[in-house]
Amino acid sequence: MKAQGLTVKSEKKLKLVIFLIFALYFLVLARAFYIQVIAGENYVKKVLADFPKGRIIKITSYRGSVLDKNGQPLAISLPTISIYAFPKLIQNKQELADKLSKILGLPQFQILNTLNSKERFVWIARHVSQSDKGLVEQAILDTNNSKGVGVQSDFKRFYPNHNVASNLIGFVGWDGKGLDGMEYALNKSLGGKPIEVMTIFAPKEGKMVLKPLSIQDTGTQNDVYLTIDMGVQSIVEDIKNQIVKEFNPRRVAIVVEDVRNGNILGMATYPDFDPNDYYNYPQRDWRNSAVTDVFEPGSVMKSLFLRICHGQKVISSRGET
Amino acid sequence: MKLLIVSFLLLILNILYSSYVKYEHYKQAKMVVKIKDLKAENLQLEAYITNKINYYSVKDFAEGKNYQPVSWNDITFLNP
Repeated sequence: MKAQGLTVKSEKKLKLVIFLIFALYFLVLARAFYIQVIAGENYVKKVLADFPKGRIIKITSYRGSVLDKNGQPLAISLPTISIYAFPKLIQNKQELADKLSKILGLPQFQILNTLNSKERFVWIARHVSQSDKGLVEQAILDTNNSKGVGVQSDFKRFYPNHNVASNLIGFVGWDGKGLDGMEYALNKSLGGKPIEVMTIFAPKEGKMVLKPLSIQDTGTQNDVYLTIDMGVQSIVEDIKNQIVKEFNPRRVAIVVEDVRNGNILGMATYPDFDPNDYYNYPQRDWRNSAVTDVFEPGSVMKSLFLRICHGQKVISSRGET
Repeated sequence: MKLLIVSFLLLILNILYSSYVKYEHYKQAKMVVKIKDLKAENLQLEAYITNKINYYSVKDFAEGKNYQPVSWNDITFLNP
């Protein structure tokens, strides 16, 4: 009996030891999974923060289009290039600035100032037309700067109708995130999550490059149809421009609504701005006063009240109560 | 001996299948790059066209062709 009891006890002990060993293995595997898959990016960021040449940069990705109810584009993503540099690795700065200034149409001193920066990484120019890619790459090669200057493909938001419905559509920031208007409100549907890349030395090419941090999900990019009709919007814009010309008002807000379903067919406000270069306009011009501001109904409402009273037969057509 | 021949055949088949997979992968990668380029070209063309035919350019064109804009003062609601 005693011997049998001991065996049961040692069996239990053995099972406990086996369980502990497996539990420990499981813990190690779980931790490895956490470091490699879940928190991998954060660890890379932590390491890069201390690394002298390392930096994490956000690149704009494709974003869905904003269209009117008939599919006319109001905001679209345009493929562009951005030119980056590692100032410490650049040679012939004057020559490079001169060549790039001629291609990009930027002031030479501005490019030279950027190249003389003490930063580890700088953008020389962002969202430049893709047609200039060949010329820029040639300029980099000619000045022997392929180790420290590079070209990165990205996307730029483009608003083909400029000031038309600008306060309604809004705009996106440098990182491709919606900052105002429908661009902000529909940020999740339009997508365009920025891609994070890190600056890293590529020994094979012998130069600094931008490498994606990991395989990144840029989310779903959907096109969004608004209830706005460009035809109605054009009429509303014409009326707005006429009012501005005649009365020089501080603000104008016109809204056209389909009373059957509440759809907004046109919305024009003044002051407006060009979302393609929103940063050149004062912040007060970005506001969509048709939505954000409160207007006193005033005498406009009198006719509506009279119509309701007449409809309810509270007053007669002769005005008798 | 039989086993040796079978394993040799398996090896050959494996090499053939691997090369086929590699070839297909190469073809697919090439197509993905082509689709990406075409998409970028399409987006650029769309931007070019919409920039050419936008509200302002169409209005300028119409006015250049002596089109008389509608006077909204002359428009009234019809009684249904």
